[in-house]
Amino acid sequence: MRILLIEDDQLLALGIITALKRMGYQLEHCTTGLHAKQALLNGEFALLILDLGLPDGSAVPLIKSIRKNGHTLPILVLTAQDQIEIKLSALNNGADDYLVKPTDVREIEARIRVLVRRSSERKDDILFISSLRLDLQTHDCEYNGQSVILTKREFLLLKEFMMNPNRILSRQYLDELSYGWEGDIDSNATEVHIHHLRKKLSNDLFRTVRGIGYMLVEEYDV
Amino acid sequence: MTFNSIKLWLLVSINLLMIIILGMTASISYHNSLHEMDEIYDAQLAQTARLLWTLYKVNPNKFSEDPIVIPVPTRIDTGEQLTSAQERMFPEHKYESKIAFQIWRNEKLILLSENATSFLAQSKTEGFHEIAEKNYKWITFSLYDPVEDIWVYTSQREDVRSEMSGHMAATQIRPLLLLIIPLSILIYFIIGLSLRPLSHLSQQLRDKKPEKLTEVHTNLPSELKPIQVAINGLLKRITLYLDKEKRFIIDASHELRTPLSILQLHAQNLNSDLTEQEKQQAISAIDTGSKRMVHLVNQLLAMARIEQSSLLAPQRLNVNDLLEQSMSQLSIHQLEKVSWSTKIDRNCEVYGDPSLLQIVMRNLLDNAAKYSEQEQVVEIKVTNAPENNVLITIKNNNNIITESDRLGERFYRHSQHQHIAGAGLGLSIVMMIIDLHQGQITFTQQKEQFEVKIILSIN
Repeated sequence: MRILLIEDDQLLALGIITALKRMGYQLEHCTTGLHAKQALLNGEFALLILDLGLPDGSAVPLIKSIRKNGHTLPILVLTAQDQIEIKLSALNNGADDYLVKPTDVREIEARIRVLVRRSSERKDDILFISSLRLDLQTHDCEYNGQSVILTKREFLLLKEFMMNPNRILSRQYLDELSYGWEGDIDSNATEVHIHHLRKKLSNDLFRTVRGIGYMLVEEYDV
Repeated sequence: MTFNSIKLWLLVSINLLMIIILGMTASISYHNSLHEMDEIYDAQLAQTARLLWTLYKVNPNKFSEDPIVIPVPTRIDTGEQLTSAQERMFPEHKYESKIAFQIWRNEKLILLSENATSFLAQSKTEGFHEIAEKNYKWITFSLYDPVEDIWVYTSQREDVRSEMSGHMAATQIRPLLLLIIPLSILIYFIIGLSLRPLSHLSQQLRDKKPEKLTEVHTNLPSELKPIQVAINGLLKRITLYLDKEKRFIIDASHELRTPLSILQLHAQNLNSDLTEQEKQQAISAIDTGSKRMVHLVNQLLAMARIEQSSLLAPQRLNVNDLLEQSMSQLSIHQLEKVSWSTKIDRNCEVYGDPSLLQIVMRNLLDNAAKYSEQEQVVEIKVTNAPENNVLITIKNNNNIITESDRLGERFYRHSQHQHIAGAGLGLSIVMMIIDLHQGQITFTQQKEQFEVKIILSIN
């Protein structure tokens, strides 16, 4: 799951990125509203974390224009401004949640899960696909009742597959998901991770769509 | 005498004025009627004297050495209760005792009224004069016949006249006196009524809450309009001031929250398993974040101190010394970053507070070094200016065109300067101090040159 972080303070952004990456999220970082718009045009993100005071002005018009352009991704506002007027204007213009700095990173992570859960219309943080079970909160994975240990990248990929079952995910999308924009992508790094997942789980779960990418298929009656 | 109440003051002064006017009216009317009375009674006295003399002349031999005494009927004074008609029903009049007469021949009394027996030493001059007799003042008229050496005196008690004119004056004043009390009550209510807008205004002002200082809009009489305008002006200024303070608190808390959350985030990250590189990043972020906070808190404290200190300790200062001291407070890093070019008139002096002006210079020099590229030139120029002023110019290279109208705004920082450490308070502090010294400060950006000009007074 990729998250776009828009924060003009480099040190703060670094802290958030380090913390959330450790918790199994892939983050991309922009410092201005303009960059954020371009990033949204070119990539797919599961969530947006947004600071309100950006170098190119308030982020409320940005939220408005994101919504106007048809993006439905959840927007979490993370800002130092706590006046009710500003909160209301952000929420009324399309933000989904509002957090005032300074805040515990665990709360940011919990809110991210809540927002994504809500946007994918789930009741809890546990994903079920056939006999596969993934707990997004504890990162526990079970297959046929057996506990499976996953690396951070494997978790990231599996989560993405389980959130989009029976859908082809492109190679490029998966690469970006696990390594980000700046990451030095080994040409077949993603392939290697999927190979590991197939080995740990089941070969039939992941179908290769030649020239495009991979797809998680639900197993009916094994 | 001063009254704290307009109502009481008006009431007392109007009543006093009324009483004075009534008193004057009474006095004038009293004296006028007294004068008229004098004229009538005096004429009567003279006429009676002539009548007596004529009667004597008819038969002078009738009078002998023994004086003839005409009795005067006495009646108890009934006061003024009876009407004239009732008075006339008596065969005599109570006032007869107040009229007297005498006729002298050859220094001997030959005829007198009973009540004039005691009038012995009468004046030997013809005409009117006053005598005192039996505790009363009498007006007497004397007539002299030199052929037979005859003196005729007619007298009348003076109090008859003053009593009557007193009555006449009282008749005029009594209705007016009776009017004073109802008039006062009426005035009291009229004053109360005309002061109602004032109490209405004060009620409105009493109800004002500091969170909602809207202007006063009431239909006030024209006399109160200037007060309304002044109050509204004051309310507006207070609101502006409160808004400014609110804005400042919001900005300050915002600015403090960012470094605080940096500290919190990276401290939390350190608590989890990080790579060595990530650990180093977190430590350096905490270091930078805490420095940022220290700087911000220092700037905020400086600002609070300046805002409180109307107590300057101004003195004559040599600008060169001032600049040297400020320069010495810069960090070695900043001093070596750029090359400093100075053109300073060493005799230039300004009048001001040394510690505050040092803050100004340090902030400006610090900015000049901070926003210049490595090895660029910062130019400092100090010259005398017209009208006993000193002009200080600090020029540095800056390839980012700043919107000069927002410079000095608290917490304002150019979007492209976010990578340079700073809280956005330095120039606000500088402007506050220059303002306190009644000097002028201007910022100009020409091409790639940024220039700060300060004009301070020598006196």
